[in-house]
Amino acid sequence: MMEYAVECKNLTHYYGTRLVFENMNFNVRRGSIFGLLGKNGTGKTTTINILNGFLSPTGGQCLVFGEDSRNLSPATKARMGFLIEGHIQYSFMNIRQIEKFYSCFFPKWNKEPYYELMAKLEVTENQKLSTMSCGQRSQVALGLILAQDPDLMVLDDYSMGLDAGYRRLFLDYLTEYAHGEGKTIFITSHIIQDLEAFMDDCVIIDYRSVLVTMSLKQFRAEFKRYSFDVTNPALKLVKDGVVKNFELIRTHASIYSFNPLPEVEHYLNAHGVEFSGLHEVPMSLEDAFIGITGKY
Amino acid sequence: MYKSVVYKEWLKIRWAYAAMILISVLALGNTILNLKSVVRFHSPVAVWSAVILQSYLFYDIFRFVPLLVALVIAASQFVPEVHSSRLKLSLHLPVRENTIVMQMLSVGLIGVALIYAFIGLALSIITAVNFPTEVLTSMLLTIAPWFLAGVVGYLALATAIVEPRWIRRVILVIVGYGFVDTLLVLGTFKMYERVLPQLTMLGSFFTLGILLSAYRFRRGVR
Repeated sequence: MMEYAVECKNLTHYYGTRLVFENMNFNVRRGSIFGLLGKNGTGKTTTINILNGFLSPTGGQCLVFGEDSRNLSPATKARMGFLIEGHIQYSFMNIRQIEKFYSCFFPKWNKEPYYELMAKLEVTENQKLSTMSCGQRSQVALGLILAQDPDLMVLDDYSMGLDAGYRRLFLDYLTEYAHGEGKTIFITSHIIQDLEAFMDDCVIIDYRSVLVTMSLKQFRAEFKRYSFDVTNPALKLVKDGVVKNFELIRTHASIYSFNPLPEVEHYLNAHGVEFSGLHEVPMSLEDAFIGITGKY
Repeated sequence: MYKSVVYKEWLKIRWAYAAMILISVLALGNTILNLKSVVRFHSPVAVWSAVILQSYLFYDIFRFVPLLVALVIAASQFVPEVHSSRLKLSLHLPVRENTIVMQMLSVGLIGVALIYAFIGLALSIITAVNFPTEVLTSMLLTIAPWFLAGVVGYLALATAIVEPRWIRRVILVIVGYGFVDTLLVLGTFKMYERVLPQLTMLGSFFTLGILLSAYRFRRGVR
């Protein structure tokens, strides 16, 4: 049995002459929850489109269960559940019709989780998807994926347009599904803090490059923010092996780094920075994400 | 699985389909009334000779009805698919991409063909009741290119809708319009009698067009 559900090897993509990312490498372990994180326009949906075979990469390749994503077989597609950004589904169908439609295509179809989820919504079986709220449509899309019982779920920005309640409901069902049945989930979202207790591994991408590929536990343990005061309000520190990001507001500075505090202290001294009060500041996942990608 | 595809396509087109049947019935009613009024205001012999001498097309309204039927059904089938890139849902189903596209196409074409069969049968009855057999044969050979124009119009519009690039869409519409316009030219009776099989073969190439456009959509051509 293959160790990875998804393998991206030297993935490179251009839109015309605009580079989206270059030589992106990551693997998604079977049975893990993998988050693809990045700011708007960094290539999250592009990656998902490549993974699903809806885009041919300019270079490199993406393997899904060992198959090149450019030529996914029907058998492999049956093992992949796909949530399109914006929870797109057949809006001309109603709740019953859409379940009936999909049920014939998937050998492991189980309508129970779908109708269980629908029972939580204030909708009737004959209600068309086009008349539902964004939150309700998200649950229909999720219910259909759960009924499909895929081995790999690819969820493109599941949180788009959802309030806190629907986001929680979505993740609660996913957690139950993933951990209860050993499924693999590949997820992207703008709401980073929701994924904090959910993800196992992550890749953080920025414009044209990959910033981090590691387990969430390792990232949370190793990536640090150090604050200190400086005497020079015009101080500039260039990103390098130690400094992953540097922020300065008046005389209050922060360094984001994978290095421990003594090494950062040594770095500042070595660069002739006059500083005081150097200390580590605890971060949430969102703080860490902003720390490594920058605020703008 | 085909049953499921039929079910989905039917849900999309059912209202448009009902409307097209209604329009066909109204056009048939109009044809009957026109024929009756012409017979009333001219002598039956004059009408007979005009039809037999092939200078009066009492079913002329059906030059455009088949095309209208085909275009409306193509639009109601494929516009919802490309809106918000919903076609991704169909192409992600565990079926070969060409198979699912051909199945969708076949549902639309069968739907169109059923309406054409209804129109053809009704016109045949109207003609057979009022005129000799030669006129019936002539009528069928005259309307055949109009039906072919409808089928080509369906394929060309479906292809243009699925095609991801605007420039190609425009080219497809122009080519499709040229082909359809040629078939609808009002000249004489049985105008394309001798080249109808060749025109049908040529029109069928549009089927390859939609497969190519769907492939380009799948590969993310923008």
